Amino acid sequence: MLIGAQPLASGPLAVAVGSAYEPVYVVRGQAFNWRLRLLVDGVDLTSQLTGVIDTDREEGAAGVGGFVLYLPPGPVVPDDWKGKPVTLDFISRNRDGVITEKRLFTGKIEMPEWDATWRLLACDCSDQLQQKVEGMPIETIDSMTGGHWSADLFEPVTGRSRWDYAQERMQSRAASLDCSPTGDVRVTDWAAAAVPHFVFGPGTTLFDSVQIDLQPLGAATNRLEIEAGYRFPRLWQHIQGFGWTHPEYTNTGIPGFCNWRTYTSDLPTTEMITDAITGAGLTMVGAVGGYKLPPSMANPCGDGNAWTNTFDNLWLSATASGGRRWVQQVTESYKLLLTAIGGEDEATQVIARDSGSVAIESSQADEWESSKPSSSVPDVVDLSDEVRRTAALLTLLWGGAVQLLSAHRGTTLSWQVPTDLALGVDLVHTLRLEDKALAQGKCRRIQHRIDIEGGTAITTISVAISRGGGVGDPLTVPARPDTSLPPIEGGSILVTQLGGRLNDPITGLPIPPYDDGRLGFSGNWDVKDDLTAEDFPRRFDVEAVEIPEIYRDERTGEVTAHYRVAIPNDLLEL
Amino acid sequence: MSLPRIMLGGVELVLHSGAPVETLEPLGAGSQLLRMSDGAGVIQTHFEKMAGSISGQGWMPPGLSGLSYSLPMELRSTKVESIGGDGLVHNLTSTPRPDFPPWGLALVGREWVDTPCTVVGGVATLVAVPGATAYRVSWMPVFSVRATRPSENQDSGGNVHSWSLNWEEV
Repeated sequence: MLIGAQPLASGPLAVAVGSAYEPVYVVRGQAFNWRLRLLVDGVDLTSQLTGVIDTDREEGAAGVGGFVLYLPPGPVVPDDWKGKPVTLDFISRNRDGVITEKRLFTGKIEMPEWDATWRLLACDCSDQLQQKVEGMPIETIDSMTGGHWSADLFEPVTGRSRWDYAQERMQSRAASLDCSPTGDVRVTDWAAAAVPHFVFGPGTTLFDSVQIDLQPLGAATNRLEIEAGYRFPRLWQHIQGFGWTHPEYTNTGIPGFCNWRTYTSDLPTTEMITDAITGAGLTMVGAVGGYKLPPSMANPCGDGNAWTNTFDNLWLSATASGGRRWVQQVTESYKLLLTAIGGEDEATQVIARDSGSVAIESSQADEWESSKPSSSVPDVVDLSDEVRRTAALLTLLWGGAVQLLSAHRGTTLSWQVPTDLALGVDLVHTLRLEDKALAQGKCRRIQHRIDIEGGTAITTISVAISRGGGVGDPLTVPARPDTSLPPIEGGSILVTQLGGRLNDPITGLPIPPYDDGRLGFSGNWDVKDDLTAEDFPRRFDVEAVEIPEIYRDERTGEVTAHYRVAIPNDLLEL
Repeated sequence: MSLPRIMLGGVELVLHSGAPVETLEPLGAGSQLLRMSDGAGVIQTHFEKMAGSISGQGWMPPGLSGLSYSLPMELRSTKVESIGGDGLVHNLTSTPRPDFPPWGLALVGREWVDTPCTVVGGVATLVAVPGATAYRVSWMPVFSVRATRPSENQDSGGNVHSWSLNWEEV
């Protein structure tokens, strides 16, 4: 057997993640001499260490450490120790004299505690993960964490904790944000590598130290139902055109005028037309167009008769448009179902639910109804924001997938080794255990416990074991439901009723009685044929088409989508 | 040169307090044998320190009551430590008494004979003796210790003063 034949440090202990590497087979060795190097604020205080030193670094959390210093007689201000930078190195020498030195912890003293009786200063340290992230610019956090994020599901970044923001981004990443032993913030994927970085072979763990904490069923969510709402305003505009022509204006221009002049009658004024349109609840779009009664002329019709007219607002033929604007709320609801293996079968499913909504609010929508209609804008404008919709749905989908992945890696396998064998092992590494269990997973937690008095330095290593399987679908944003409506038809040709005579001067037919309900223009012929003939009121009436409720009430659409999430299967045989 | 006496904190123990009995043993800390899963042992060592005790029985108390037991003291022991082997050069594992230099012995036939010994920086070098089959360097060590105040016992009937103290290397 070649125990100890290979010096511990001859293998590439500091495995660079991401580059090609060979697994490091941990060699047990026979004897190790170790010592520490503790620097506090750059000063070597190793000789004042006493008792037990421990560090605990876990994925996704700030690393902590603790040690106790004996301070020689002299004034001590424990408060001055707060915030001092701390580094802890472990120096291991094997029986062949090969020295391996590794950083165990980098941080700051978070909270010193002074024992006045024995002059002991107990220091709790932290690697300041939260403060480090808090101090980062948003762009750095974005590029570091990646992930999906939506200001609609969370809250806008301004004025908020950047640590919270980073956590929110990490919710959609199957990865952890933590600090390296040297204090660098990094993000590591949960997925275990195919090739382990370190292999702990038979006999490399401490006696009776291999432990497995299996995940209970209730925590293994395999079905996640997400209800997402996307709400936006739809800006409607309907412009209705009205056209009216005097029945005797049978030709355009002067010839038409001359025809009308034969038997003159009342004509509507511009004010009458615009009042009618606004009276119908519409807003004038543009001006009244058409043909106006011409001004005074010497001989317009070629019959020698001069024409005298001092009014410039009487219409022989008129067109006008009135418009309305209103806002319809459109709500798209997305029922997203994410399942891991077993989540589709009622007998095996463990359900969790989530929700989120995006509501587009716009000042344009608030002012839309009171703004002036214009023929240069389209009839329907959706104030939809595809970027926000996509961001929110992706955030929910990825967050859900991560939730399922996380729910399936609750099993933790841990073992203890002399710290001399665990130097270089970091949370980023994939570890393989071939002692008392056969397992391979990503390192989840590293705890060092160094007992100065007892002379022992023991490291507890935990790996996360993900169990599941199945196939996965791409997490693509579902298409939008169809909530469109056909354009509103409407527009009307207005009619004319002229009274003041018993019989129509042109056709000679009797004039029917005045109909108050008829739209259009009503007036009188200028020349009566009978004094008893009824005078019709002079008026101009229009009516706006009715907008069906479906165009006004909230419009809803629904989309369902099902995504399967593949769960990695890590090796675990006990 | 007469054999030196035990000195603790500069106080010499006189024979009237009794002939001392000394023990010297490793301190049970700073090193562990870790058992691995297959039963193999891995030795982990942070430090090695010595401990011991001195006791005696004589006509007088030891006279060590005036020492400051809260501070480290120098213990000049008379417990002989020795390293044997074939070679002539040996690393001394503790500091020899300055008032009594290490001495060398060589085994010639069945007899141990003296051989000159020089110590430089904790390394003892013996002079070769023709026909020697083994060498040995011996010395009386000095430790910086934390000693307990002696526990004493007085039997007035027989005028016997018994006492003992323990010490640990600091």
